[in-house]
Amino acid sequence: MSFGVARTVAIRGLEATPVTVEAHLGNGLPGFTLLGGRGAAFRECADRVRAALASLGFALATRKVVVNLAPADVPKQGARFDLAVAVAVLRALEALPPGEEVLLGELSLDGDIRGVAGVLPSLLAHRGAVVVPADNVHEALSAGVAEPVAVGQMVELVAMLKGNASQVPPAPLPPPPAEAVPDLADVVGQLEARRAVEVAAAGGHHLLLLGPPGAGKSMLARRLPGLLPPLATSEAITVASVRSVSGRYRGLDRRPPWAAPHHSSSAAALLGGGSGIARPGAVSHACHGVLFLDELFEWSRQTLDGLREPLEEGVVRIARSAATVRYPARVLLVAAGNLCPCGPARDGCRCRPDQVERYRARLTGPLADRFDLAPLVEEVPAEALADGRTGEPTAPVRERVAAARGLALDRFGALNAVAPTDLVRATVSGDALEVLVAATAAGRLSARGFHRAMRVARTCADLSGHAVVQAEDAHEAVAHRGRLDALWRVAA
Amino acid sequence: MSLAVRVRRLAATCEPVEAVRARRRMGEAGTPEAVVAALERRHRPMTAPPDRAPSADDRLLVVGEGMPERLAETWTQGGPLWVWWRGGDGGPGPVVGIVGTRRATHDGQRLAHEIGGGLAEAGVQVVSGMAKGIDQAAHRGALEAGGVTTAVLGTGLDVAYPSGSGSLRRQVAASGGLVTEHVHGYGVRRPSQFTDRNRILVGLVDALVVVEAGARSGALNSATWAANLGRDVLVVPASPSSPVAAGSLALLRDGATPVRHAADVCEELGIPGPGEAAVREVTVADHLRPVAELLGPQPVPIATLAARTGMPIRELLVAASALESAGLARRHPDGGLMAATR
Repeated sequence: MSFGVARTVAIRGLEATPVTVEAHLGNGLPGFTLLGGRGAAFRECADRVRAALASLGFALATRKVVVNLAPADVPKQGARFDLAVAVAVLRALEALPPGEEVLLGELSLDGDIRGVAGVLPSLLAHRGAVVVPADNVHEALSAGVAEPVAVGQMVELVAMLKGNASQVPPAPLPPPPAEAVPDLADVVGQLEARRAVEVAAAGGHHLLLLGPPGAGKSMLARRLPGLLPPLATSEAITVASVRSVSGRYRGLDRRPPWAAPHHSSSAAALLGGGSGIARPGAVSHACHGVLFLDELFEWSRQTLDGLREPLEEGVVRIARSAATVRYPARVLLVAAGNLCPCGPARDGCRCRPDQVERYRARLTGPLADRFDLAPLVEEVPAEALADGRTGEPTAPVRERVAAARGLALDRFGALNAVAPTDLVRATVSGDALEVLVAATAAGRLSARGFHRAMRVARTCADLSGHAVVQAEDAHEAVAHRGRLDALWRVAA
Repeated sequence: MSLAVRVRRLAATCEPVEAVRARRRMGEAGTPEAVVAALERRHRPMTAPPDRAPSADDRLLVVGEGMPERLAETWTQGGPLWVWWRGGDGGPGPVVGIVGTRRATHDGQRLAHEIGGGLAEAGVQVVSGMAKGIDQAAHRGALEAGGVTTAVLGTGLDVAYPSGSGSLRRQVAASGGLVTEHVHGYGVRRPSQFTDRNRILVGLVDALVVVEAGARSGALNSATWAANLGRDVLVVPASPSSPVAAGSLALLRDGATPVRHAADVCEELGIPGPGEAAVREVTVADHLRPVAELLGPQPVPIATLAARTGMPIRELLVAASALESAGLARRHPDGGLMAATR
């Protein structure tokens, strides 16, 4: 009778939990029993491990093998435990010396080690020796593991754990593909919308671009990530962790992410979902970057309403059978929509008033309240397109945005859109408050719009270098937001 | 059996238009009694009560038996023989109808709302047709001013039409009442049922105000009825470039009286108008003047304003909001800025 132990890590969302794998070889009816996990990929682990060990020359066919993954109440699924199970069995066979390193990896039947998803978040909190598949070694490095052991085959691993081989330093990861963010200079005209995009980037305010098709809404939105500063290390790690969990890791990318799900997407695709342990959705993939919802009014109302809590709290919680997981969801939401279903056809709108009402009613009041700016993107006259003049390029705008963000971060430690309300209010002059109160009293702002306009005014002031929000900043904020409340009032 | 009881049985199965046709056939001899007798011969009035029992509050008013005098007088010119009436009635005092297009502009709805409100303040009962657009704006204006307003419907009293008007219908019913010639449960069946109700609307009023009638608008049909029944036709003028008001302008060319606001309407009726809003001293701050000067009744896109004034976009947005704040401009929900008239 013999016993072996190996260490690994289970993951639930982005939360890692250490797991101990215990293997016991005993007498009895031959078999391979695996305890403590769920799902097809997990159950099949037994067969993969048996085949992989057979390829190394360890026959288990006549032995009774029991493998237990503890703690049992931590949800475990997927193939990431294969390597630890194999090592625990080998230790039970006394083919390997005991060790404390953490092992992650999937086995092929002939003993190759394959990469798994979620290596980066699994190792973030871990300090100590780590063995990962060669495919995932860069994730381990990003997670701060000093010298991860990268292995491609079981034979290599056995040699290494016996002390018979030394680790070759991993080749550097090729830089992520440079999808250049297009430049704002391509946008001709659109003064109001450009200003709104600048304010949105500077304050982290959600933006709704309205206008006829072909006017340049998507074009403007696509250029917004270029205005945001590069991600801080912690933000970049969060972004990379979400990608890692989805198996889309591509290095520690400091460019703000961009996600543009199609309007036919399900709630699971937008917010996260899937059976067992939910996987992250577009809102988490866009964390610390831009989530772009084109054709906002074509989205199903139910899916859009699911965005309300994540936008408010910056995290999305999804409960599924195995676990409730939290994914980060701090996004800058940019949406675009036509003003009516015909999207004003060339010779003016042809929609019946009730069609327009129904169309706009998809934007429920609570969701409309989440947006702070609603510029109109107007069709650019043909002459303006023909004369080849360009708009202001991205670089100077990005500088202004960075300066304004810096002011907000110094003052509140957070962007204006999420700073505590009372702190924001303390920096608003009486004149500016009066402007906002008057606008609310006149029905140009909703009650919720009042507070959000105050934050936008704070950002306008930052962009103008005003330490205290002036009346003109408040006026600008009302002008940016006013259409949203007017639109919603018409739709209601 | 009284005429009212006979009509009540008849009204359950007989299209109102048949009464009108019968009267036209019979000419001078077509008294209400004669027409009812003729219809009874054709329709065999129900002896059993109709399936849909009208609610207790709903009254059937017949020419000569409860129908308001002014409306009853139109009987000889094609008016209704009977109407169902739910809720309050207007009582004595002047009555004005406000009609216009369903596809009203933002500005047209605001005008209808203000005129409805102004007339209500002056103690005038406001009658309209509950249609979307101008009609509903007029009803709302009158209700918000605490006045009395009556809706003439093209469907049965219990039919939820137009969709989404439920709460407004209830409020109007509680105010000046709902009126129709159609039996309960009569939905949208014939295109003519809505133009036919115009003659009842016009029959109830002393004067008719047309706000934004398109070139082929039902409001023009109302205006024709008004001319035939001898009611004043008052028209709110519009810009010739506004397509939704082409009919209004045609009426003006035909000699209708232009009116700008409720006070003008009251003057036409010869009654004291609503409390005159003191003409406000319009002082535009110097830095706002270049923008204010470009504004008119049609919304001007912000981009156009920027191009014409040469102001940086931030200053222009600030100016736009400041002008709105001062009540000198309004933001159109679909885009640009327009002058506020009051």
